Amino acid sequence: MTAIEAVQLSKTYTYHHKAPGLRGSLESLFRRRTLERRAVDHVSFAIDQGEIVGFLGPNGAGKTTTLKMLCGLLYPSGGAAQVLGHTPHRRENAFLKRIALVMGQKNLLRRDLPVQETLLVHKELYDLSTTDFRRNLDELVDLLGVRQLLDVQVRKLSLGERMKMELLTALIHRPEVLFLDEPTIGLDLVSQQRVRDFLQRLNRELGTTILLTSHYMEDIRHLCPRALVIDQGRIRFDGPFEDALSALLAAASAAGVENAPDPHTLPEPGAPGVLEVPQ
Amino acid sequence: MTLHEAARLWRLIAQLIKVNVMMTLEYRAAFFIYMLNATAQPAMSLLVWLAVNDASGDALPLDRAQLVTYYVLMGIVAVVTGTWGAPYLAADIRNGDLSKDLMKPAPLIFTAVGNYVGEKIVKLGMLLPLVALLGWLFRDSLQLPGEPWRWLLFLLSLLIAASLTYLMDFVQGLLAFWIQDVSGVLALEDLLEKLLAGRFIPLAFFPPALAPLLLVLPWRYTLSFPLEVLTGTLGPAALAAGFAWQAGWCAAMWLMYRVLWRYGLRVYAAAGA
Amino acid sequence: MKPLRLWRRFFTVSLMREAEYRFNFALGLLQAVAEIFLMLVLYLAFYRFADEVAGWTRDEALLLLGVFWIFDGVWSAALTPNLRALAGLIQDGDLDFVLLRPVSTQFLVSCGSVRVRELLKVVVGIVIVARAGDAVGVAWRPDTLVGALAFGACGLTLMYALHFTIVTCTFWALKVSELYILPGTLYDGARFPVTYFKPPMRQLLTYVVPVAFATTFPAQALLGTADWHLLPLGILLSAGALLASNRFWHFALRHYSSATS
Repeated sequence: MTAIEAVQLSKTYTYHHKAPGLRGSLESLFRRRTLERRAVDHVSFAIDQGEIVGFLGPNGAGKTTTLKMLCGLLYPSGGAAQVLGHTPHRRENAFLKRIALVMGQKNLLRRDLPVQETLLVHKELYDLSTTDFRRNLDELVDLLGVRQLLDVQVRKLSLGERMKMELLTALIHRPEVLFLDEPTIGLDLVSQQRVRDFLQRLNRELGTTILLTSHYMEDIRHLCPRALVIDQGRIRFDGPFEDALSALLAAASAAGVENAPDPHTLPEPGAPGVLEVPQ
Repeated sequence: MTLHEAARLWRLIAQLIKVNVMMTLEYRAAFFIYMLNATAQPAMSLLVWLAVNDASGDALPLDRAQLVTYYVLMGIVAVVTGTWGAPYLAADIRNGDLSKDLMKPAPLIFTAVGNYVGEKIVKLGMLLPLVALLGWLFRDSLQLPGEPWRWLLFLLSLLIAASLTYLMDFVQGLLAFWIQDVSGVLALEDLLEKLLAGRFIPLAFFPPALAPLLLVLPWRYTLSFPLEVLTGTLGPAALAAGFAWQAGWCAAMWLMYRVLWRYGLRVYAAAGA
Repeated sequence: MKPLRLWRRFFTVSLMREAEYRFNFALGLLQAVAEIFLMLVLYLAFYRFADEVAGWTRDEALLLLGVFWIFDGVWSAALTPNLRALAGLIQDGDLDFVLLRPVSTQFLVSCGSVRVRELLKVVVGIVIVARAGDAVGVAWRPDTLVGALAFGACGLTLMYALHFTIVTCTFWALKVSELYILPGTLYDGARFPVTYFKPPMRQLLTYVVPVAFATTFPAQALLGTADWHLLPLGILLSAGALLASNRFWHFALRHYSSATS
């Protein structure tokens, strides 16, 4: 059954151009140049329930923008999207209760509170009964191995532990679809692996559909049987991960050196790591 | 300081002023909103005092014309003498960022002027039309003095007032060398300023017993005194005394700056920032 | 009711966080006291020169001041911190988490945190209202109290709708975080009986930035001089304004450009 579907999805941003210097400042008082940027350009794909799919691509390629349109955070400029039978940008409560988003670079948890407090807020937000809340909590805490950390202030946790707590909080309401944006960014190798293992078990045991963006090869390689390569707002490739690599390299050489994806995200086949020092 | 050094300092400050003008223009919408407020706030105080004046049968120590003139022009004085740097200076001292400023080719007290002057130039540009509009709304009661010398004295007192508030603000920031969190001190000074500078209650309206105290404290000279000069409520002796006190406080603040800066830097260096 | 339960959670969480920073909490309490002190001094200065200003005696005016502090306490504790932060959230594209919750986003961004220290003003306000009320001879009956609260609730809703709509405009003026300041001076007018002002200012403060509903009318309700015809009008306006602010908010969200990585 299709869980996520995008049809010619597009997002265009407009912005103003200002010339440098004092004269530029004064000029922009009277005359403005408006420019357009196509962040997502007619993107189409379909993802079935229970799949784990990765969005791969360089910075600014449009992966996060696409993801956020599927979550309902951004209003599309064109095309359509369907997630679990809902139109995301309508942000119906029924829809929002069935999805979750975790962002590697933006933390949901307040630093000065223990996670337990935020979890209780989420219990209210998602209308969880005390039984369901306890059951979900126990399940996730065991899967993640964080029972002893629930009462600790978030700022006292390590980065890896914090990411686990972010996942716990995001999943407490048992969403059917989990969106992840750069989930392992900034984590050490061991924590990265733990997160990937957890996501795999989550998918296996609870059947959660997972869609993640990353510019770490390792995330996609370990987790995603299927990868979508996005560059300059367009889908360049959609298929098994192994074949995605060559598509990525082809995109790089076609675009020229200037627009080539960050070399750090293109290790030679077989080599580990990305930004971290290889073992 | 040699002539050569002074010229170099002036060029540096001029450049800083230019940069700050540009930055302020960048955020012109926000600053325009501040200027709307700077005009509206005295206007509201004026309306309320006019209601009191009517109820008292014109028994206030200031007559209607003086009251209107006082409050219409207050916005200008408030903006020219406004300060905002103390929290930033304090933060820089506490987190070690002061070292960046110490490496600049001129003392911080001079380079920081660039930010104030640049911003105030743009602010005044936006404010003057608003004040003119306010003045037009009250044109029946507004009474601006005709004598040029009074305007010159006003400008002089305005300049000294701006220097005084600048120094007071800087000195407060410097307390961060010794105090962990200066926000308490700043809040206290803010309260005293609100009470004693003539913003909400013109100083003439205080009980006469308090008059000597108000004369001696510095806050009168940051806002009320320039306006008193302009509205002509002061005789020649009072004018002279006022200027003496104003300049005196300025000198006192300058001395305080010298002392705090010198001893503060020692504490700062000892902390190994 | 879910919003109420949620709000209780927000209150608990906010209290926990504020208790962490005791110096700031104490400072905030002192600042509230200072504000109250300044206003009392101002009023005492007024009534040095006249026994009655625009139909309000000193004690009646102090009653209104007490009402203002109750209003301002609730306003500054429950709404202002969120409205101020909202501009920043819009500018930084930080609304993602809020938009994902199956709860009214307007509720979340307007009531998500509570600045508990401001509630001191409510306590002081009640004390002032009680003392001034007794001095003036207010009849503390259920109907006058309910009437006062009703007017106050209208004032709160109207002022909130106005401020919220203004801050929502930040979506189109992304460089300006200070939009909420715009009604600020007029809000200050709430400290005074609206009769202190002559028309058109009086109308401005009744129907445009409706501070009259917030303080003058509740005070008049307690004093027994209220124009009760204004209450149904106020309720109607409040409901309409709230609805309009909600529609406008959802329209603005289409222009949301979340921060991309």
